[in-house]
Amino acid sequence: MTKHNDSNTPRRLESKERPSLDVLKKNIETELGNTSDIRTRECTVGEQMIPAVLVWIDGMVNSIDLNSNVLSPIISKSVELDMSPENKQALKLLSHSILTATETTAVTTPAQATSLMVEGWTIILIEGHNAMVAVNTLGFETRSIDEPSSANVIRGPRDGFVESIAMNISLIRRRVRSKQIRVESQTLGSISHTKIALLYVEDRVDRKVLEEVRKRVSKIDIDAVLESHYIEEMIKDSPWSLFPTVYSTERPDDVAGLILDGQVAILVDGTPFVLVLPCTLFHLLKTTEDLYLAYPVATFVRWIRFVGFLLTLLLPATYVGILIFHPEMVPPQLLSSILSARDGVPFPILLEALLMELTFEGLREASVRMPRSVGSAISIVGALVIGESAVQAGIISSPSVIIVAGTAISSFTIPSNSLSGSIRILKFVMLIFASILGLYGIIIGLFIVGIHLSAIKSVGMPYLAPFAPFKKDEAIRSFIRLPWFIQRNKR
Amino acid sequence: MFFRFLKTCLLLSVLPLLGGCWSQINFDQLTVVSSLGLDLNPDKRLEVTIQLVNPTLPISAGGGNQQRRSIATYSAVGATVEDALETIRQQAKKSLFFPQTRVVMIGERLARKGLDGVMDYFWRNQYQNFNSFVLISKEPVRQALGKSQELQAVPADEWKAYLESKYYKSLSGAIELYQFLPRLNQSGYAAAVPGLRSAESYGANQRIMAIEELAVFRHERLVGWMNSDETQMVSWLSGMAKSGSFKVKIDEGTIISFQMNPVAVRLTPVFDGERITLKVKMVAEAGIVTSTAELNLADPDFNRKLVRSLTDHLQRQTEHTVYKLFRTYRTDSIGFGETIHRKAPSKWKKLKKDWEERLKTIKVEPEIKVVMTKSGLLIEGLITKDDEEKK
Repeated sequence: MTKHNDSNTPRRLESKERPSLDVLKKNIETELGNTSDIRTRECTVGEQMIPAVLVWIDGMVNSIDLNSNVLSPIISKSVELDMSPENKQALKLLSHSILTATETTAVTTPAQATSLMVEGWTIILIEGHNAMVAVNTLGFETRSIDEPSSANVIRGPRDGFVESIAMNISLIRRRVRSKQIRVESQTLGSISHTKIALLYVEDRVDRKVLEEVRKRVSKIDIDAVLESHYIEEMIKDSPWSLFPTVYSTERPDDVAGLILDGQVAILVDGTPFVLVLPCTLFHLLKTTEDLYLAYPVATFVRWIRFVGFLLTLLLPATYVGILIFHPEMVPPQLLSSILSARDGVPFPILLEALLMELTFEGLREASVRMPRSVGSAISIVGALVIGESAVQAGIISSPSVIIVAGTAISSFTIPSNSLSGSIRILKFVMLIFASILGLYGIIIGLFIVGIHLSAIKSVGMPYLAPFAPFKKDEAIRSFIRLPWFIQRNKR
Repeated sequence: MFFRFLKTCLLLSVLPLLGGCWSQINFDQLTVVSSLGLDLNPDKRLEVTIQLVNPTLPISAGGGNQQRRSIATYSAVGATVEDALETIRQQAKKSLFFPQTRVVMIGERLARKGLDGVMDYFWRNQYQNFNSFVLISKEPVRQALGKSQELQAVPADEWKAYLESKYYKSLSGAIELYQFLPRLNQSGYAAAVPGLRSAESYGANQRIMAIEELAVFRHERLVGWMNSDETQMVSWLSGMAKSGSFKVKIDEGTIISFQMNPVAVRLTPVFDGERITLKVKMVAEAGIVTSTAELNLADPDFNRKLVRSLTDHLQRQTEHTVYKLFRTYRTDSIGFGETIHRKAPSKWKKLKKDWEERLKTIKVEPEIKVVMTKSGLLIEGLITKDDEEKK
């Protein structure tokens, strides 16, 4: 028998200084700007049958929770309680021995009350009492845990993070059941009040990294945090660099593994993407699945990924560079077949490669945004129009289609989406270098990329670690997935 | 401030254009020269012939139906090679691409006159394929390149494939440009180049070219030819090939073909005052490929006889080949001079001045060891008539 915003409640003022229920309710409503999603429920408490009102924001509370832990105890159990305004202990007694909710607190001002309400608390207003009781009834609909779409595995756990930070923390905790796990929560965003949490393993974390992350997070001044990338961009090293220096993942097992390695995770409420610091280039080329596969297979797959990384960067550039500047390097039969395939193609090689690469990037972007039902149409258009017809119409030569396809396949082997994006941009830079200076230009380009990579850091860790600076054991472990039985130390 | 930044960016972006694209090649104008031929025309002037590849799709890619000539041949006369090539460029209107030349063909007439002054082009030009094979054509190069027909569309591809093959190496005596050029000026190791002539009896229109015999050079001049058995021996002695086949006549009516693999040869100079002796130590494993008569290999005596006659034959052939080179042609195509250079550098300093004269006096002492390893699937001559058991 919930009544919404009932304004016909009779005024019953016991004494002048005791606020009436109406006024209390009005105060809260004005504080929230008379927003229409406030819900109220009237009832009476105590022996004196003092009227009371429960106020909450629709959708933010769990109604079962509200019913069984707040409403029903008040109605059924408070009849013997002295709730008269003169009884100073009344509110304390109410929250201590009547309400069965997990969290209660007393608030005195409407401002306090509303700031709790937006976080899903229910406020109990009792006539004659200045103070209010706030009960945590937070509970909103969340997506159920399912397989992360950004990182599928063949073997390995299939749960992914969801949009609720509490759930996400629990997903990590249930993997690492150690008392050494520390969660440092704070709120960011002057309007959004987004909860974020630093998560690490106390006896393994690198203190310097932790201090640095804390410092950087505390410096963030932003009005809203809607996704972890907001934070990523504000705390990352070399913010102008194309390369991601913060690792983000959707997989709890990934984060669990990384914090066990002494890294710090940053969880942000409202997004399934968790940030992990520090992050090096080789972190981005590893996947958690490497650890779930047999070590020879995992090593092989990892090498394929390294090769794919280089091919994405260099394949189109090498094709253009060699053909324009050093055709003598091409084996005679291949040269003959490329020459004949290019016979009658109107565009120069560079333009052809650029066109095809851009078309592919466009196709890729289109297929990401497309609803799944239309997605297959894109692939048909891509395969037929670009692959078949353009070649048959003599607009594009087939070798360049092969090159673009090879580049595309290689780019899909890079596990990190953000790394793959930056490599795809650099691919075009390399293409330009190759078209101006040939293989010499590619080497210059690689030098520039190499200098940049060895210059940037991620919270103090060099980006090319463990290769620059070189650490033998870790370098071997980055290249080869060592079987567990010969890994002696814990990390 | 913003405009200054913009101006800087604009100016910087013009910078790469200023550089141009120095050694960029217009890929679509590029035409691969498959072979380059040098010869003297009947007026004794230098004639350059080139064979251009008209690119076709490989047959596997559906290029089999293409109705286009796969090669085109151009010839021009000039004072220098480049002079003639300039004329050819005017005819062909394409940018000639030499780094993938498969074969450099030299006409016998030019080779006999001497290559001095012509080969400078190959030394100087940086866009050269030093891995192209050298051939001496017995007939005018212009005809050899223009009329030759092979199974592959581009004849030079076929020739290259043959010359590259390890299996035929001992027979062909293949030599690449990077080996050929320095040997023209080397007395301790003279050049020897496989010859090319059209094989008869294939009709007038169809010219199948045969790569056979070996042209022997003394410095930059062709001095004579070696036949195919001698070619094989030259290849073994110079260490270019390690296998080959040999046929030996044992008795009247019995000719056995052997497959020799491997053949290890070691040349050792022995000095005795002014006299030099060339010791040839050859160790070979031989297998019987075929025989014209029944062989009883189970009989040790016969076996010994077989090995002996093979050894004798090889010995005779070695002496014959070396003397033919050293005495008849007065040239060192097996690189004996270089062997001395390596083993006794101080002696070589004195010897090299009149090495060609000295060659005539060198005595050859072959020391040959043959091991029979394979006899094919037959051990005795067990081919029986009508499946009868041999008694």
